[in-house]
Amino acid sequence: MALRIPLRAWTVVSALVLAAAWLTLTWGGFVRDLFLPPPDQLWDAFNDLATDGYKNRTLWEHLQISLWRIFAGFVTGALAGTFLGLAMGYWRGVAALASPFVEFLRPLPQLAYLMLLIIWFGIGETSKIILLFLAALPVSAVAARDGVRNVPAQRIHAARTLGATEWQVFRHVVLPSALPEIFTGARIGVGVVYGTLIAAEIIAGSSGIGWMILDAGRFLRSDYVFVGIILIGLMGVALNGALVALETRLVHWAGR
Amino acid sequence: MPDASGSVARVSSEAFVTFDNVGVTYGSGAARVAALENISLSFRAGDFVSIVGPSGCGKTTLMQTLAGFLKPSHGRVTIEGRTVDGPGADRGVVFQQPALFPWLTVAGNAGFGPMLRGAAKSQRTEVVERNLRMAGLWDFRDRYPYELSGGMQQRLAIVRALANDPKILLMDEPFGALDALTREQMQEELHAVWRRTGMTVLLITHSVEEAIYLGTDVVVMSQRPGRIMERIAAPFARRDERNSRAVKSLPEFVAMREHVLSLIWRSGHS
Ligand SMILES: Nc1ncnc2c1ncn2[C@@H]1O[C@H](COP(=O)(O)OP(=O)(O)OP(=O)(O)O)[C@@H](O)[C@H]1O
Ligand SMILES: [Mg+2]
Repeated sequence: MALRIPLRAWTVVSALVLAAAWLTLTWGGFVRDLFLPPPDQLWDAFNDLATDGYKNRTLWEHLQISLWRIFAGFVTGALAGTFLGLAMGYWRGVAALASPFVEFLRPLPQLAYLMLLIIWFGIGETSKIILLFLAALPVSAVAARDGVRNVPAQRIHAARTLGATEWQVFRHVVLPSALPEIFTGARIGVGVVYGTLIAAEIIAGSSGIGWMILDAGRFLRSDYVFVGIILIGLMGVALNGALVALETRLVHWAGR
Repeated sequence: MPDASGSVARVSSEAFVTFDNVGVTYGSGAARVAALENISLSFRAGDFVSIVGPSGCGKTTLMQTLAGFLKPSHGRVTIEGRTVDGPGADRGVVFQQPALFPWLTVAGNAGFGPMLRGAAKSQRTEVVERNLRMAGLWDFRDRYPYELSGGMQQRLAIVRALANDPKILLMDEPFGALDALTREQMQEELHAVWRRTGMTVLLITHSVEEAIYLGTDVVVMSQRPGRIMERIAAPFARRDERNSRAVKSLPEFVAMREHVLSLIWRSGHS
C-alpha cells in the first residue's frame, strides 16, 4: 500500500533539507562566512540594518523607496497599457497604429533603453519610473488586446439581443470578459517591473533595496547582500500574493 | 446587396415575420457554400414555429438572419413590416450553448436586459423574482452560472431572454444537451410560457416529436442548398390536454411524425 504523504509535507521537507545544508556548510566550517554567512550572522545583520539603517536611510526607507517606484511605474504602466490594449482589441485602426511600437517595445530588454532614459532624464526618480512604466505597458497592452479579441462572439450576440448599445456591450460584456486576461497580464507585468527595478537600482541609484545590495557587495558585506536578497524575495512573493488574492476575488469565474 | 423589391406584394398584411426570398451564401470561390436558397416564409404573431431538417441544412443560418446577426446575401427578412437590420431587444435569442455571463449571479443574468434598459431597481427585482420563481431558480439567485447544471443554465438563458418581454423568442436547439426527462419538463415549461404570454416562438430542434408537440407550424427543411420542403400545420400545441405521453401516442400525432421523418429521410438522400 502506498503511503499518502500530504503535499504540504513535501514543502516542509524541502525547506528543512535546505536549512540543514546551510547549517552544515556554515557552522561546520566548510565555507567561509564571506561566501555564505551562517544564520546567526544573518540575523545580526538584519537587526543591524533594521535598527541603524544603511547609509543615511533606514532599511524601511530603502524598502519603501523601492516599493513606491514599483507602485508608481507599474500602476501607471499597467493602466495605460490596459486602456491602450482595450482600444487595440476593439478598433482595428488603433491596433494598426499602436502595434509596431508595442511589439517592438515588448521584447526589448529594459536595461538597454535604461541608458537612453538616463541620458534624457538623469539618474533620478524620473528615469526609473519611466523605465518601469515602459516595462509594464506593452505586457498589459497585449494582454488586454487579446482579452478583447477572445470574447466569444455569442456572448456579444446575446447582449445585443438583450438590447445592449455598443457602449453597453463594451462596458458590460467585453470588459468583464477580458478581465481574466488583463489580470494575467498584470501578474506578468509585476514580474517584469520587479526584476527591472532591482536591476535599475543597481545600475543607477543611491537608494532602494537593489542599490543597497550592490553597495554592500562592493564592501564585501555578503551578510547584507543576503538580507537584501531575502527581503526582495519576500516582497516579490507578497506582491504576487496580493495580486492573486485580488484576482480570485474579482475573476472567480475565470476558466469555469 | 441585391434587394428583392417587387416581391413584397406576396406578404400578407397580418404577417408578423416574413422571409422574403432569402438566400445566404458563405465564403467565395471554391469555398462557396449556398446555405440558404429561396426561403420564403411568413408567420403571424402568436405562432409557434418549429423548424426541423438534417444537420447542416441551414437552420441556424435562418435564425441568424432573423436575429440580425447575419445579413442575407439575397432577399430580406422583416418583422412587423420593418426590414431586420441588426439585433434588437424585440427578438430574444436562446442559443444552443447557454452563453450566460459568468461574472454575474443567476439574478444578475436574469435581470441583464432590464438593467440595460435602465429599469428602476424595484421593478427589476420584481421581474427577476417572478421569472426565477417560475423557472425554479429562485433558490439559486446568488449562485453563479458555473454552479448550475446544464438544464438549469438553459432555463436561466430562457429566463434572461423572457425578462425583456421580446415580441418573438428565437431558440436554437435549446434542449439538445439535456437528458430525456429534463427535456420533457423544459418542453412543458416552454409550452406554458407560450400559452400564458401569447408570444411568438421560433424553435429549431432535431427532435421531430418536439417540433410537432410544441409547434403550431412545423417547417421541414432540405439540405444543400437549404430550402423549405414543406410547412405543416400542427394542432397539438393548442390542445388543452397536456399529458405528453398521451398526446405523442395519438394516431394523428404518430402519422404526422412519420410523415415528417420520411421527408427528412428523403432530403438526406437526395
Ligand atoms: N460561418 C460559416 N462560414 C462558412 N460556412 C458556414 C458558416 N456557418 C455555416 N456554414 C455552412 O452553412 C451550412 C448551414 O449551416 P447551419 O449552421 O445553418 O446548419 P444547421 O441546420 O444549423 O445545422 P445543425 O443542425 O448541425 O446545427 C452548412 O453547410 C455549414 O457548413
Ligand atoms: Mg445549427
